[in-house]
Amino acid sequence: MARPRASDIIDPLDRAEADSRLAGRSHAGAAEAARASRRLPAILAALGAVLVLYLAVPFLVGFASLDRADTIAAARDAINAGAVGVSVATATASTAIAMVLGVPLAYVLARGDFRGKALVAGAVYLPLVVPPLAGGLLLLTVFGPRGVLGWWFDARSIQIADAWPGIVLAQVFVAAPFLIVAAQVAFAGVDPALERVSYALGVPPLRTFFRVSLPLAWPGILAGLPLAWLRALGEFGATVMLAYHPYSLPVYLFVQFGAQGLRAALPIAALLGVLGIAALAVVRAAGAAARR
Amino acid sequence: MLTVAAACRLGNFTLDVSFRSAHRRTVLFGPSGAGKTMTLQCMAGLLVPPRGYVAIGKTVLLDTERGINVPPWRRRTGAVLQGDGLFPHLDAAANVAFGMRRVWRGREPTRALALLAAVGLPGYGERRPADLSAGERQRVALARALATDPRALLLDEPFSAVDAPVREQLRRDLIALVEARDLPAVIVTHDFDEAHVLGEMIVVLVAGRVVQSGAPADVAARPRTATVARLVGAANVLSGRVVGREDGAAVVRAEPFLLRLANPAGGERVQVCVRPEGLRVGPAGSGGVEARVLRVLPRRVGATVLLAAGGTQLEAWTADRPPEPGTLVDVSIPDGAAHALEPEEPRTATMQSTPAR
Repeated sequence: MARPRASDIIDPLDRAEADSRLAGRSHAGAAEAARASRRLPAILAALGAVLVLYLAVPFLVGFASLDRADTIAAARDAINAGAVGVSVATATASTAIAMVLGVPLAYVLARGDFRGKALVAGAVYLPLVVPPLAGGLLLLTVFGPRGVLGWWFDARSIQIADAWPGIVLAQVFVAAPFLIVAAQVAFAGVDPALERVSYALGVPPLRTFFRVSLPLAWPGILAGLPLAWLRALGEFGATVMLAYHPYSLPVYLFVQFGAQGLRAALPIAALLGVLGIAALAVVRAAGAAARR
Repeated sequence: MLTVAAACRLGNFTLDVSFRSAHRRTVLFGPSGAGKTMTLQCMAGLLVPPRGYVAIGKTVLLDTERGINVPPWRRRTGAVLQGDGLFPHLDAAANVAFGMRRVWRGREPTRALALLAAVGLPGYGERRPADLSAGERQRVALARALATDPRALLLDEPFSAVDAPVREQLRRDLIALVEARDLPAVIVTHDFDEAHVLGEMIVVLVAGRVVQSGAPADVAARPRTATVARLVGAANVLSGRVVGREDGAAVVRAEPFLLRLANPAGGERVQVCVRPEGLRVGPAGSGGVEARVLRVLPRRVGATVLLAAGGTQLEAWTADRPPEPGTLVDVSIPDGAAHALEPEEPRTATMQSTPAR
């Protein structure tokens, strides 16, 4: 090798800089040392690169193989079939439900000190333990037409399974844990001393929650929102068990793939990808606005 | 009038305090881990002791015997807890307005700015806590406590994070504020200088108990036990023996001195305390006990002189030109400069050896 390795050049320099820093002379020395300490082991970078490629390549290849006219037609079909509207509406509703019920739960888990807290905390992870398909099966035992709650609705002609409520129930089941965990971490990061200060300033616990705990945890909760929304949007397994109809996008994708093959299904996958990126962008903008 | 009593156990720490203060500024003083913060939290209602009583003026906030326990958000105890506790998501004005009562509805912003001005921060309304210095943050925290129309102010180590010159100014401003508003204040500190400056009355806490209380000058001059003596800088604690008694006073042999003490406490063995400024140091032959100067530590005013008299090390303070290290001097204790200490609270020792009652 004719060329000297980078480390050969930097090392003697570092030593000189370190000496000058010890003597308390140079700012450039500090900058140089900081840059040197950022050198990453090549093997770690290489391993990471393999995974990044694996994650990104299907997107590049898949999107590259899209035919423009086909895609527009397929997107129009999906919209006409109602799948886009169903998916966006149900994912948004599921996320809203998961938030309204999940944020209080997360606060209780982060701050509460009660018997059986470990059990409650564990229950949050139950939907992650079983595959969504199995989760859908379990939901059927409760909300199916002959399920323990489903019969009550069935007797009153309120349709749960194979209807919008079924889709939302399936999505909440699989998506809520993401939001709860994110919110719990966010609440745990709020200094409890600030809540005590709030009490001492004359603000009772519930108002303290809304005026101190929630605003301070909000950025963390906001970070959990797109995770939950995307998980809901992409939900297939539990949904297909509980509510095959009306078609949500993933179910529609599955149906199209079965009927017409890859060419017909691929544009729907692209549509899901676009919706996902859009959701992330919205939340990012909201987060930036919240931080001002 | 302020009355506080609290008994509780937290882990293997036992708090059992009780004091009463008719003064405007009361200082809870003691080493860290003495239970000062716990006592303050019992007053603020953030900690509820199984047995306790807290009253400010005629208002009873806690009386476990009668089942009275006003929750913290209704106590209006104006707490400034450790580390200022400003809400980072709110600007200074919103922090100050945070706990304002309903009667101020609609006037919060104006009043917040007025209070900020009152604590020396005019025009600081829109500053975020992160952009304020430690001293400014303490001032905002103080304004925020005042904004709740409190019955009292409870301050936990309010100035410990502040640089010395700013701290001095903050102390003066705090005194002026509580005087102007006629507010009783309870201030927690582990710094005796601060206790001395801020307190009209000092309550000394050691290991969860009140070991002494009184005016700062009295506590400084006559610490009750050896622990308090050490905390208030009364550095010389000598072991002595009563060798005779005459008209209520005792003659005590405390090497290398022979002293007449007015307050002989009980037994034959006593500990004698002399403040550094109580020792009189003069040139050799001027009378007293011969001592060698080990070291001289210059102070802002005067100097600390470390002495060896026989086998005993002594710490003296002199306002005059200090003697040279290595020279011989005469040291004596004028009448009234020494007093006998009481033995340490024996219950403290038994509590530690038997954790469960």
